[in-house]
Amino acid sequence: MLEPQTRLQIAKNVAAKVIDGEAVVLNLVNGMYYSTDGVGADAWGLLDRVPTIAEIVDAIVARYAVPHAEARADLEALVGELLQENLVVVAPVGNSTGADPEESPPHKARYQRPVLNSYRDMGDLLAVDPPMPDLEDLSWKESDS
Amino acid sequence: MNEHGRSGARPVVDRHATFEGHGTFGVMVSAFERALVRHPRGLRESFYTFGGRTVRLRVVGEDMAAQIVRPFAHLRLTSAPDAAAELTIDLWDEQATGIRRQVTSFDSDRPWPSVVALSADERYVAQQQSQTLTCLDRVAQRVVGCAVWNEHISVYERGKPMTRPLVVWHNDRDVQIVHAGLVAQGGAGVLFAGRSGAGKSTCALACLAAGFDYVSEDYVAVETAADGFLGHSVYSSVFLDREHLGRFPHLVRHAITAGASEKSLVLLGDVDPRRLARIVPIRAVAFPRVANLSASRIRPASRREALLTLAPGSLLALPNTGVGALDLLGRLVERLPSYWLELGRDLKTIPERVSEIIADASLPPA
Repeated sequence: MLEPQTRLQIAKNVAAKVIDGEAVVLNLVNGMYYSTDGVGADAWGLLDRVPTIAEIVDAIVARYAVPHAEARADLEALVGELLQENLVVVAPVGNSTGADPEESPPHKARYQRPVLNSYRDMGDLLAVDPPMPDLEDLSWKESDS
Repeated sequence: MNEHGRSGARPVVDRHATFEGHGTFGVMVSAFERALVRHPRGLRESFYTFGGRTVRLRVVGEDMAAQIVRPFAHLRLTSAPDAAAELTIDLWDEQATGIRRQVTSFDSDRPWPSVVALSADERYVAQQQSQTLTCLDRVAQRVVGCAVWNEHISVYERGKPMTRPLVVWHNDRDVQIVHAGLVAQGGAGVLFAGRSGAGKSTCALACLAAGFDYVSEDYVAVETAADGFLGHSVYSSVFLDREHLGRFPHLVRHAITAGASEKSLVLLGDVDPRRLARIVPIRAVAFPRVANLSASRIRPASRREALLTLAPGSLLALPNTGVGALDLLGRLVERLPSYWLELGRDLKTIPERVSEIIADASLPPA
């Protein structure tokens, strides 16, 4: 179980863009890509600040009409998936850029449990060069002089 | 988590091996210089514009010199430029010159179609294919390479030489290479993006046949400009399988096959060089997809749909340059209109719909 004070940051070799309320996230190492919208996109957007899990929960609760416990459970599950997929990592102490607590808007948005969508069809997309076999057992060979 | 795509499938990604870049590059340069000394009459020098920058190409070996430039012929400068080249490419033909590459290489007994290697400091990028080896020094802005140029060279090496070094070089200049097609009409370009097999090549070639200006069907170098985005051509070559050639029978007589390759190479400079464009402004993005229709049709795509469709296919560069690519693509879909282009069986309707996209994209926003 993740501690509320666990601080998170976006993993190296991950590229992401949030557009019109949807976050598109790409793992540049393994070619997997992901999307999440609504609450999930908002949570992703907070990661630039290197927040704690508690800070993410508080920010979501400030924006959406949801009980704190429900938001915490859902966001901890989302964070668990992000960690498992190597999209975020636990940040070293002192990495936070800091942010003031959010003020709630006059009308909170309707809450929906965040869902992370993953896509495994990158192999079809990277057909730029001729298909490449696995490189794991690549070995060197001295050429003829 | 919701999973989409082949369950348990492992994506094929742009993974690379490592190699000792500085030493390898130095040995290659020495070998090129020996080839030049031994065969001075075999040197052919020419200049090109890649990504809007001047590139100098020197090849030792007459036959290789005549053939390897054909995919770039439309980018050739007619006279030596006044300004210094921003990239120098030095190549030699091992067979014609008798000068071997003399570097450690990947296990050539394996049937590796293409291996990419990166030095530990990421300064050097090498690509080895069945009969060619090229290496880029990103600091010196120089490519040095060699090939055994004979009848056994693959259509990939012949049609799109030096792929990885050129991708990295473009990206280093913030001219991001993306996996897309690009055609233009009246100076307005439409970028075809999406998965392999979605129909990008079909759209680009159908438009070319209808008189559009043609930039690419698979690689476009995208650059941010003051008033939008520019698409630069890289190669004028296409690889077509039998099905594609059946759809474009006028290309059959230009098809080059080699060995057991499943695809044929067509150098479009042989087909209609007047229609090959070096650079066009991009005014819209279209996502082809095959539909059970007689005639093609278009409908607007949301920016969310556009980014999710466009972004994954942009990862052509080595790791840590994908961040820049995604940022550029995000700006592209934020600023340009996007459309689904549902492809019908009548290919002639594709350019008709693309013309409609151009007309629609030129309208002021509501």
